[in-house]
Amino acid sequence: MSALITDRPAQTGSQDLAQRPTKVSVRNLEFFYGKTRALHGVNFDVPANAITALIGPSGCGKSTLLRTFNRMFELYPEQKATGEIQLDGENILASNYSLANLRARIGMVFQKPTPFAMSIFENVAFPLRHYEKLSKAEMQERVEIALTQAALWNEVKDKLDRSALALSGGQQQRLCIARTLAVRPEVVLLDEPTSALDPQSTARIEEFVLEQARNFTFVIVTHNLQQAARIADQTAFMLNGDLVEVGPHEQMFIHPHDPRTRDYVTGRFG
Amino acid sequence: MSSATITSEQGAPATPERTGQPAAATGDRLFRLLTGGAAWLVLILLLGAAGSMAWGGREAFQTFGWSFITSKDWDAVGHQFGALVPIYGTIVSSVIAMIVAVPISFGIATFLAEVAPRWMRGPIGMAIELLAAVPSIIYGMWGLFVFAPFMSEHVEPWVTEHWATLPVIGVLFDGPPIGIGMLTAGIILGIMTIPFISSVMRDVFQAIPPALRESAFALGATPWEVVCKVTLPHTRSAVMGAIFLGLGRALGETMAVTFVLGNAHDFSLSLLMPGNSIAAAIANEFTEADSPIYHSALIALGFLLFVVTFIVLAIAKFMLLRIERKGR
Amino acid sequence: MSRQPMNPIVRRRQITNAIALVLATGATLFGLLWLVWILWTTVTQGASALSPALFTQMTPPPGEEGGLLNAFYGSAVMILLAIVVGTPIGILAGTYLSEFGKTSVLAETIRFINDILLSAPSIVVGLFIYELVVTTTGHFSGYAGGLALGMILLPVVVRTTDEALRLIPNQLREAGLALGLPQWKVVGYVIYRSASTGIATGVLLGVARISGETAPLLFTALNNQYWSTDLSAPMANVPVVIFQYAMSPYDSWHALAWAGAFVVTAFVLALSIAVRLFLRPRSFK
Repeated sequence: MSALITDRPAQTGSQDLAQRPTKVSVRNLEFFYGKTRALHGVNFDVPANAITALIGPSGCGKSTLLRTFNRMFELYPEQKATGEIQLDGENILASNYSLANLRARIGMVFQKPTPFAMSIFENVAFPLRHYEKLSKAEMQERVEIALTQAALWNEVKDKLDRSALALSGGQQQRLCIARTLAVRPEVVLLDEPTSALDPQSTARIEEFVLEQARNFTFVIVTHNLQQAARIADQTAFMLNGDLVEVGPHEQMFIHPHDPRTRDYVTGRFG
Repeated sequence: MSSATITSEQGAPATPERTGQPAAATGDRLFRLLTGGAAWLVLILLLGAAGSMAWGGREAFQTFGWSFITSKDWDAVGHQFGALVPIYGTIVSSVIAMIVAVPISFGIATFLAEVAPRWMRGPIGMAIELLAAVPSIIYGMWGLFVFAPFMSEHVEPWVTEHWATLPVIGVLFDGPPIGIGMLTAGIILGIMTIPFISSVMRDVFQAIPPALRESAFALGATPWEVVCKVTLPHTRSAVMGAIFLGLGRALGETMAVTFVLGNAHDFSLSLLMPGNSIAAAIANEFTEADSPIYHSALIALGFLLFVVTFIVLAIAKFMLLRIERKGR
Repeated sequence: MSRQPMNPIVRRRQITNAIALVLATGATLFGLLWLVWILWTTVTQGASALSPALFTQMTPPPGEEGGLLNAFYGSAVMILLAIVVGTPIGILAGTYLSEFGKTSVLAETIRFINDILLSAPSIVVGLFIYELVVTTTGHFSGYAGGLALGMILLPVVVRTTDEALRLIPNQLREAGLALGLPQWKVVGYVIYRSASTGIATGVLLGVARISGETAPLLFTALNNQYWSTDLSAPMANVPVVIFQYAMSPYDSWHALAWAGAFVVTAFVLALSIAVRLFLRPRSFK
């Protein structure tokens, strides 16, 4: 168990965490796939400019929870969410909340890299163009910033015109991150972003998250416990559609309050 | 340039001015309308085709009633139109086509599924599919200039000599060996439909769960037994669907048969005599139809063909859908 | 096989198996025989009739020498018209099925009807366009011919677009939508690009199919012995010329028909093979 606790000065202590303003607040969230209830009244707060990890065994509802944050589930008519998710105090699940506005403020990166069949440059510029009218120079600059933030710039700066599909899996994933950041979201959702990647690519993405944690609010779903332990300021443990326990790093990995959390983080199941 | 300096200036969360959002909902609505309209057009085309032909053929249907189907008098001068000869010809040539195509297609599908080494399947399957890409007019020309003389010299004399004396079915093979006629047309139709039937059969044979085949092999079954006792029962409805698909093609095929049928309007039971089919009659006579009722009779024929092929193809589709559902 | 004396039942099964497999192989050879025979005839007859005049001279009057230039031109123009009409409508309809209709009753109905149109007799399409265009405008025309070909191309494009789009993983759509892009932009700029190979395959296979179609042109474009670029007048085209010349009693016309048949077949087969080798992502029924 001690292997899980890495010494990480950047990691926020519990007092510090409590002082952060709340960015996203989940209230009595229930989720349904048809008639099956997948989330049973989830309540918790995501602190601003910090890294929140959602952990739990597969099927526990962590990805489902993440997909309610940007209302991605609405693509599928049989899926439905009740309760509230407040972004800066406003309920984004309300039907009159603009979906386009929501998705501009909350970006998402998926499990598998999803580069568009365009050049590397266009992958970042295309979504950006939808939101802002920029001159060519401004566009160049914004693309460079986003690629730099995602720690990809140095690898691709000489081949921005090449197809994004020719990049390696890890590079594609960082390109998807850059694409998301370019729009300047406030919250970035990461749905198991490294599960399809090799350890080295995983490390680069973790470094990116740590480096950018003061600029964005990250919510990351992972079933890699070590990953949560390495990077998360706050960790939420889910089981069978319930949020069992949520707390800062040392609570979750050293002194869990709930025996189920302890069983999970010590590897008894999952 | 380090990322930290950039981000502290530019990447800070702020709510920048967002443009282009109100247009999004309108754009989506338009997009849905446009694609939906195009999709409806497919339905409308089918209904329009059926409707326009029913309308164009109404005069013939009203004038002749049921005798349009049961009478064999096709008299352009006397304005009497009964379509028994082309209807009979369509059915008989299609039946011959199925007699030729079904066993051969089954053999090809079996070969591709169980006999051919893996490297051979792609090229052979492709070659068979290319048979389907050859335009039907090429089959027709080849039929007229090459196959009909071949039939007349080598096949039909033998057929007449050996089969014409048989009881009951002998009458089918009693006729002059001129090469042009129902038998030749039917065989060419059969060759044309082989690729359609065999490629669908191959696809359904390949789509059966590997575990089924493997467990039969594990019990010591021979490849042929696997095809007969495992693959075929499992894919029965799709195989019937493939056959009906081929039948639908054969019923409506025009150019391949027009060349070799002979455009005759005399009824004859003999497969060696010139005959006619619905499609061939329309192709041969439509531009020459000089009276409204003649015209109407040909369009009415087209309507009949359309309805019959629709039914056959619909049956095919239902049978193929059944296996798709089962596969899911 | 073991060397031990075989159980008679096993032996009989082995023999049945051997016979059946030999028959299956024979059936395949039989199927290929026709392909070879038909191609051989077309190549030998057509190649001997090939000459530069084929592409420089007009269709001749009965019994005389000439070329097929006007017919090639007419066919090309009408195929182009068919592509211009059939492709956008087909892609849009396929998009509806894949992106909006999905498995709804309406979408499944349209798929069903579309598959039937895919195999419907092409002569019926000719009759329909005759009633729709020729009867209302009062004359045969290149427009009518192009529309008839377009109506044959349409279901091919609908089906392949639908299939190609459904092969695109949903995550790509979600990735686009998660960026806040509207659906039409996601489909139009992202999904189409990823599915472009599949869609192009469909269009090209459809073009291969309509290139040799004769029946729908017989009473829409009709034919024209002379050079004509007027789409609102009857238009020469290769398949109908082949049909008329082949059915004629003149040897010079027969030779031209074979030459035309050779060119059409070579074009169609080359296109089909090229598409299958270079584009085709998966099998197309």
